[in-house]
Amino acid sequence: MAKEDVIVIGSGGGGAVIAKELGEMGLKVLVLEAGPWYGNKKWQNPNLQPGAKISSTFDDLDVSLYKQLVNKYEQNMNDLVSGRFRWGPADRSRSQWFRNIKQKGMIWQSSGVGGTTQVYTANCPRAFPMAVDHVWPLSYLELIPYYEKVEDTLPVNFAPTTAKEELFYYGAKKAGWHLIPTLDVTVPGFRPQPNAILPPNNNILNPHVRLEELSWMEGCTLAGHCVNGCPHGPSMDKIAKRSTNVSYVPLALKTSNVTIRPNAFVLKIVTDIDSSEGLRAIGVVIRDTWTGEKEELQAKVVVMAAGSIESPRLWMNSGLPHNPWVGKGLVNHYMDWLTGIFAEKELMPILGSSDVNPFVGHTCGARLDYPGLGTLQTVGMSPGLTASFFGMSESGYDFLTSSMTKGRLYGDELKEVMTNYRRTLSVLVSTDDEVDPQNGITLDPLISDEHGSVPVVAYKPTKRSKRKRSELVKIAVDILYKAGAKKIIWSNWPAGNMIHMESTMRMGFVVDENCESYDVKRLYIADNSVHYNSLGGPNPTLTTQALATRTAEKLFNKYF
Amino acid sequence: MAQVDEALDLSVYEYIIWILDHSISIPIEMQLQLVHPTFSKSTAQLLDVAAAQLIQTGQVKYPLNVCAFSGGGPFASLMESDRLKAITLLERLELNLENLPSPYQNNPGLIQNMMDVLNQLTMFGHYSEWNAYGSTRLLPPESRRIEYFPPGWIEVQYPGPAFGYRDFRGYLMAFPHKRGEDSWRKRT
Ligand SMILES: Cc1cc2nc3c(=O)[nH]c(=O)nc-3n(C[C@H](O)[C@H](O)[C@H](O)COP(=O)(O)OP(=O)(O)OC[C@H]3O[C@@H](n4cnc5c(N)ncnc54)[C@H](O)[C@@H]3O)c2cc1C
Ligand code: SF4
Repeated sequence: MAKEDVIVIGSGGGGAVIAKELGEMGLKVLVLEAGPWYGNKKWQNPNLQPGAKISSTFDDLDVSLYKQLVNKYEQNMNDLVSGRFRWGPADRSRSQWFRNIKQKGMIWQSSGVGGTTQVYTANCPRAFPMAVDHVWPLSYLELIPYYEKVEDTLPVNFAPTTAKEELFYYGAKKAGWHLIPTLDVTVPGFRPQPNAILPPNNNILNPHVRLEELSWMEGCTLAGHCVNGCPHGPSMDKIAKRSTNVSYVPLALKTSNVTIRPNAFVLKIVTDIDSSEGLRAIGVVIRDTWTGEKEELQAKVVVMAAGSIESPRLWMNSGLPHNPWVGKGLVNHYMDWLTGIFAEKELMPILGSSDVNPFVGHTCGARLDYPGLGTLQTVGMSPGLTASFFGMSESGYDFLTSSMTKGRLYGDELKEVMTNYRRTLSVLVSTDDEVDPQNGITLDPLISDEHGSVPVVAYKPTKRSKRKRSELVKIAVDILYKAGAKKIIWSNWPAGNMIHMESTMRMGFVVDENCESYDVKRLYIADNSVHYNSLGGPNPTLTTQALATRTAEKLFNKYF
Repeated sequence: MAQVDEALDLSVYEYIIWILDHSISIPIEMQLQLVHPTFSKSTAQLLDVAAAQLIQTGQVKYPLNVCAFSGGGPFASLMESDRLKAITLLERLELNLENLPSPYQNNPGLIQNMMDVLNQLTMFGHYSEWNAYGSTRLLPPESRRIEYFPPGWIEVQYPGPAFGYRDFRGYLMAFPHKRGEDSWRKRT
C-alpha cells in the first residue's frame, strides 16, 4: 500500500488550505472529500456518474464545465435536500446525509471540493482581538502574519459599494456610528466587508463591454449570486468569489504534490500504538460513495478537516479515546434576521434610484462590528432564499400588523413584503456566542447510516448570548429606521440555525495550540472545530484558514 | 388567502411532498419507521391530528370546506387562519404527543422544527424557480429543465440569474495588502 505523507479529510474552508501549504513544502498530500468535484474534466457529469477516482493536476480544471454546472438557479444550487450545494452524496437522486436535530433550525453545510465555502458569501473578517488575547492558548499577535498570508492568497479586499451598502452606511451614519478603517477591530463601527472576492473589472461601467463578456473576464461582475455559487471569471483559479475550490485547490494542484479524491467518505481513523509515541494515527478507512467499496489508506500524519459536526462524529465513530470535550461547546453565532422595507420616494434622494435591488452586488457587502456584542451584516439574496428566511421563527406567526412584525410571515403580509422585494434591505445578526459544554455533537445511539452512527446536533444559547443578541437586534432596528425603512420584519430566528458552526474540538481541550490532538499523536485538526470560542462574532473561515496555515508549519517541523 | 391560492396554482404542495419524501434515505427511514406511511404522509397525519383537535374543541372560527382539496383530511378542510391555528397548536405542543404518528410521537423538537420547515419549503417552492421546471419538476434534479420564466420571480420582479450589474459606486476603503496592492495579480 502506497503511504502518503499526509492525508487530509475534507477539502472545505480549512482542508484545502492545509493541503496547499503542505504541498508547497514538498509533502505528498492526499485529500479525501466526501462530496463531488464541480469543474474538473475528470467528472463531466459529477452528479450522474462516478467519473474518475482522483485528480492531481491543475490542467484537469475546466471553467466551462464549471459554468455549466454552477448555473445560479437557487433551487438547483441551494435546495438543502437536492441542491448541488447540499450535505449529501454526489448522486442527487439519493437523499442527503442524515443528521438528527431535535429542535427548530437548519444546518447549512455543503459537501464537495470546496466544502461549505462553495456556498459561503466569502466574508473574511479577522477575529476581534479581545476575543483571542488572554483567552485563547495563543495570542492575536501570533495570528496576524497568518491572517496576512491568507488575505494575500485568497485574496481579501474590501467590498465595493452598490446600493445596499450605500443604504446601510447612510443609516449607520445617521444612527451615530463611525467608519472603523481597520482589520483589527477594537471599537464599534461600520466598515465595508473584507471579503474574498476579486474587485470588479475596470470595464464594469464600460457599456461597450457586454455583461456576458465581462463574466468571462477577471473580477466581480456584481451579479449577486455569491450564495448560489459564483461562476464568473476567465479560468477556475480566477473565479471572482474565492471559495477554496477556486483559490487554494488550484494552488494545491500547482504544487504537483497534492492529489484530491472526491466521492470518498472517511469512516474511520486508523491508529496503532508506537513504543515511543504511544497511540498515533496511521491512516483511514474510506468508503467510495458511488460503489460502496471500502479501502484502507495509510499516511504518516492525518489531518481532520471535516467540519465542526463531522470531525467530532468521525472521532467518536473511530472509537478514539474518550475526551470530555470532543463534540462539546458548539457555538453558531446565535443568529437573527431583520428586513427593512423602504418606500421609493425615500430611496431616491439617498441612492439616486427607486430600488435597493438586494440581488445586486456582493451578497454581504457591508458590516457593523461591535466587540463585546458581535456583528451585523447586510445580506441580499435571491427571492426563494429571501422568502424562506421569513418562514423561520422562534415566535411562530405574528398576528399583529404594525411598523414592526416579529415572527414568521404568512398570507397577505408575506405577499406584500415579497412584492416589495426590490425595496428591501436585510441584516444578519451574528452574536458573540458563548461556549457552553451542554451544546454540541453526540452520536445517535439508535440511528446509523452507511457511515456509522449519525450525529445529533444540539444548541441552546446561554443567557449572556441571548442578551447580546437582543442588543444587536436593537442596533439593527435603529439603523434600518434611520435609513428610512417604513416597516421592519424581525424574524426572531430559532437558535438552531447553524451557519457558523465552531468550537466542537476546542484548542486547549481536544487539540493543543498547534492543533495536534492531545490523545492521538500525528492527528491534527484544521477546520472550524478547533476555535476556542466564537471569535467575538466575526465570520469564522478566515481564522480557520490562518490557523490551517500555521498548523501546516507546526506539523511539518515536528514530523518531517 | 391569495397566497394560498397561488401556492396551489404553482403546485407548491408537490414540491413539499417531493422534498419530504426525498430528504431521508431508505435505511434511515426504516429506522425511523417511516416507510409506510411515507414522511409526507405522516406529516400530513400530524397536521390532521392538530386540525381534528381544533375542530373537536370548538376552536375553529370559519366553516369547514371538505372539498377544498381532493383526498384532503381535516387540516385541508380548514380555512387559512384556522390552519395557522392548528400549526400554532403543534408549535406550542398543546396536544397529546403520545398519539402522534411516527416519527413525531413524543418528539417535540421534530414537531416544532417541522412547522418551520413546512413554512420555509412553501416559500422556497413558491419564490424559487422550482415551478418553472414545468413538466420535469418531479423528475430527479439532473433531468429537470427550465421550461418558462419562474412565476414567483415575475411576482417579485426578480430578473433571474445575471451575468452582472453595473451598479458600481466606488469604494469606501482600500485594503491594506502587506505585500502591495497587486501582489495577487503579479503572482498568478
Ligand atoms: C450560506 C453560508 C454563508 C456563509 N458565509 C460565510 C462567510 O461569508 N464568511 C465565513 O467566514 N464563513 C461563512 N460561512 C461559514 C463557512 O462556510 C464555514 O465557516 C467554513 O466553510 C467551514 O470550514 P470547515 O473546513 O470547518 O468545513 P467545510 O467547509 O464544511 O468543509 C468540510 C469538508 O469536509 C468534507 N467531509 C466531511 N466529513 C467527511 C468525511 N468523513 N470524509 C471525507 N470528507 C468529509 C465535507 O464534504 C466538506 O467538504 C457561511 C456558511 C453558509 C452556509
Ligand atoms: S457578486 Fe458574487 S456571484 Fe457575482 S461575480 Fe461577484 S462574487 Fe461572483
